[in-house]
Amino acid sequence: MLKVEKILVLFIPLILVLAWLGGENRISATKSAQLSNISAQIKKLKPLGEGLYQARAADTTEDLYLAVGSSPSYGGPLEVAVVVGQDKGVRQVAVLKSRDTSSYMERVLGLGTPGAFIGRMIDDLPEVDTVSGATLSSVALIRSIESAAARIGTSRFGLPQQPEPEVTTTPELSKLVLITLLFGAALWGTSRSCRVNRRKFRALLLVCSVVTLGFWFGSQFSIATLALLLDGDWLHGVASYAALLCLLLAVVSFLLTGKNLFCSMLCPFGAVQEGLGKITGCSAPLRYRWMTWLARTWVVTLLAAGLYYHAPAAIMYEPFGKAFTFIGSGVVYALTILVVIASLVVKRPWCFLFCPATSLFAYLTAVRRLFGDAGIKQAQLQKSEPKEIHAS
Amino acid sequence: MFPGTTISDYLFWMVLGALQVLVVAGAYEWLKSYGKKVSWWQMALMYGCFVSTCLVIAGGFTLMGEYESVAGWYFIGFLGVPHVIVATALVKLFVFKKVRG
Repeated sequence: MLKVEKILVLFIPLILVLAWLGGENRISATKSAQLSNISAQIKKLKPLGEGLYQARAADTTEDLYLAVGSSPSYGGPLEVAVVVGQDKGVRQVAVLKSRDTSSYMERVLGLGTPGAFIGRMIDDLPEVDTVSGATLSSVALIRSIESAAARIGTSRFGLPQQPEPEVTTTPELSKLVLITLLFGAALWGTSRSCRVNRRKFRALLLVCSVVTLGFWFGSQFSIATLALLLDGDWLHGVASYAALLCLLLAVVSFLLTGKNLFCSMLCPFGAVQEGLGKITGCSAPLRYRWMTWLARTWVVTLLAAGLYYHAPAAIMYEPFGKAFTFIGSGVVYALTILVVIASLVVKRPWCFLFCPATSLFAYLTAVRRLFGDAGIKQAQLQKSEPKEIHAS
Repeated sequence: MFPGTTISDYLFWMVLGALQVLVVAGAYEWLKSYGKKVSWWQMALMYGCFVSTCLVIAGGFTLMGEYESVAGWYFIGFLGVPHVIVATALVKLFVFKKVRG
């Protein structure tokens, strides 16, 4: 193992920890400024308790109450601030923090979900419909607003404490079980005890993965999932743990067995690319050393940015969302088309050239090497990793 | 195509339609020069895919002309990509097929 690689194995976590600490410091320093900037109509913000503030209206000198409410959403907790007047009427609603993919939030905010609460009394809040296509984000937004309003209602107006809203039943448990089963099947398919035709079994598993992880759950892990995991905000709750579980199982199985089960046996987007590549019978692209290091630097930079700004969803650039669930920006859409067309020319172009998972597993390989696991199966990794070409 | 004229539009599309004969005949000759033999129904399928792709592009740009640029790009992207994939599969099956024996 190269000395520089050893240094990097230890140095990268340090960069990420520093980025996270910097982000924490930045957030705590800007919290009250952020609350004051919700509206020009609010001044003299004064804390009354946890997540509860008193303020003065700039034009009428009326006393206002501001409360912060949060609820687990797709990418982590969604936090809103609600401003209520002396008449119990909602004056302002502002989203303080959201870790969801921006296109989800744009859809929810674009349809005016927060606006439906403005002007209503906190003891008579409206039943607002969720937004189709962004259900988790809209539910989290509505619950956050209700939670903030309830905080003001109970503490300042003596309203009875509202019972916690019933958690809607989602197929979350079945998702987690199915993902675990898929990983179990992948592990069995690569083990010696597997007596069936391995190629056919792999093809079957990839098809199942495209249907379940890709189109059905939309839970393929991305760099945003990795940032969310490292950020630790998922401990406060996320609406779906499927992508996190996928990532955890992929990492744990790799560290324990040295087998990259996800990329080789389960990745839905990889399966789509591989299927398209079968049409033309194309081969893997050449990857020069500088390409490898450029991709790794890109991933570490994005992760550090995601941790510093505590915005995992903002760093996501993979085309998985657009390919399977039609979520993502125009740039991601163009990238998805390019990758799909390129898959007819070279084998799994995204996996070999751009996917952050390739850099992640390269890092984990270095970790395994550094911490001396005699049983590392390098051959298996080399099969799933593109061959590097040293430019001369 | 030609605003303000009475017959130019019709003539243009008739000529363009007639040129399709050259497209198919040219494709036959081109494949023959490479020693590839393609039957009439295989050529018909490939030509059908080509025409369908042209319609997708025309549909997308019509949407753009109707000030629906986003819809136009999505139309071309989501219908065009399957066309490219199908066209590639057809070419692979009919042109670069494995010769038996």
